[in-house]
Amino acid sequence: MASKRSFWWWSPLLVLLAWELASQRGWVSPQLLPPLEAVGGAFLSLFSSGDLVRHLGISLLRVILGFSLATLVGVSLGMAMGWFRRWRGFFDPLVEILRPIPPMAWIPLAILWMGIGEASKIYIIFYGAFFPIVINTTLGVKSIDENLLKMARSMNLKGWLLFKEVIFPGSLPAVVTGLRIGLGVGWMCLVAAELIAAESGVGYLIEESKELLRTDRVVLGMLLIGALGILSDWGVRSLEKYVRRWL
Amino acid sequence: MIKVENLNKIYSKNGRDLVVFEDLSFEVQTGEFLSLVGPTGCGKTTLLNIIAGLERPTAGRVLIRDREVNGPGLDRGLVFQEAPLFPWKTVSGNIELALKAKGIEGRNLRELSREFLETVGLVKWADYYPKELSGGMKQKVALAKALAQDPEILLLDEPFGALDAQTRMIMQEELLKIWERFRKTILLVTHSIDESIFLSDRVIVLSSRLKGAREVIEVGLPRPHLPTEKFWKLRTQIWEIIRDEVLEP
Repeated sequence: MASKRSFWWWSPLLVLLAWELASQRGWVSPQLLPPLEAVGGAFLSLFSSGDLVRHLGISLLRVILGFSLATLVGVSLGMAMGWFRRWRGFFDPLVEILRPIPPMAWIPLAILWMGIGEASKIYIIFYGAFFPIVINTTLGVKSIDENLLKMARSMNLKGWLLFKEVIFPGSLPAVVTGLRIGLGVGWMCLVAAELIAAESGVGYLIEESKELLRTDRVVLGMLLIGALGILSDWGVRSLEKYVRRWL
Repeated sequence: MIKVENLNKIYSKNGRDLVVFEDLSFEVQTGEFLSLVGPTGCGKTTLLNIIAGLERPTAGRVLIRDREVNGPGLDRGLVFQEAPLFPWKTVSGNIELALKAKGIEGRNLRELSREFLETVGLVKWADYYPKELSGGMKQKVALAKALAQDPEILLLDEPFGALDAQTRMIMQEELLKIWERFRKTILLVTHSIDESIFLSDRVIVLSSRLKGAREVIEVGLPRPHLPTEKFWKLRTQIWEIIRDEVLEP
């Protein structure tokens, strides 16, 4: 594990070197693939003007809001669907019908309903993140060992205590998996929503820079989304580590 | 203490009935150690589940202190072979949960759980997770957890089935100590004839072939039940009943 972790940057470094070499030697046009230092320059100029922080901040806020909402609704509904057969019977068809609709297909309607303000973007992120969370949570509750549930019943565990001490922790590993997938989908939805209708955010930065043929800024925007995605994934993973103590 | 009256259990699947047992009746005295032995599929576990209130009989009833069982209750503590503890709770946490379920709250939970861990000699392991424990230790904690519930009756479903022979013997002695110290009524399901004779006052041999017929065997040996001649006679007697079944199911 230790050696694996200390060499994780090898493959990204190799790609960066190849990229630098390709633009140094003039193998590709700087319009198509800007050199590394141009992206660095774009980073510095956008950072000093304050635009970068503004775009990042608003994107981050949208993801946090959409993802939190999806977590709240997805985990609650998933728990209920996993535990109560009637809830599952009632909601399952709806989930299965809505799930295959890509969040991006909702963009036109979301804009009609909620305008091009924050609500429509948060809705798209919510929609994308919701399904992995609700499905994994339902599965997590359903897959709790039958023997443990029997034991809980024989111990007279009921209501809140049963939920808090058995159902919730028992389904947590699957919930965390759902959260990780949901967060990843959430980031993709963010960029899609911002590319189409926004006046701020990293997705907007990419779209605007494309119009201005500033490929250095386009690449910068893409790298920022990648970096933010990794950072947020680390957050969810620390939750996973917490779960792994007893797994 | 426990009265099993004309108990029937029939599973219906695809219009066909599978009779697990029919017209089963017996009694367990207060403080008695009784074992249920029989071949796989004879309904030992089903019977235990019905007494625990986790399953319903098709007909008949179970009385505990003259009250009919119609659900699980704190008067019966259960220990299973598989998954005897909540894996997401530490050793101490598992016992504290049993106490919490009884309505005990507050700061003395931890101290109380410590007392129960002392009876099985695992205080040092209080903050470990079940996965970090050996099979025998897990079963000891499961016993401590069942004791923490302070039931009158302990229902044990093959608690030592997954343990190696040596650990199993140690656990059997441990269980006898607990039984003698806390004076619980114990109902043990096992497939080991030796275990049933070594531990119990009486052994009930459940038969899957002769649905109604079953034999009750008095051990009637002075404790501890050491492998004397009488022990071997009993062993042969039980084995004869079971062997016929295993050979022609």
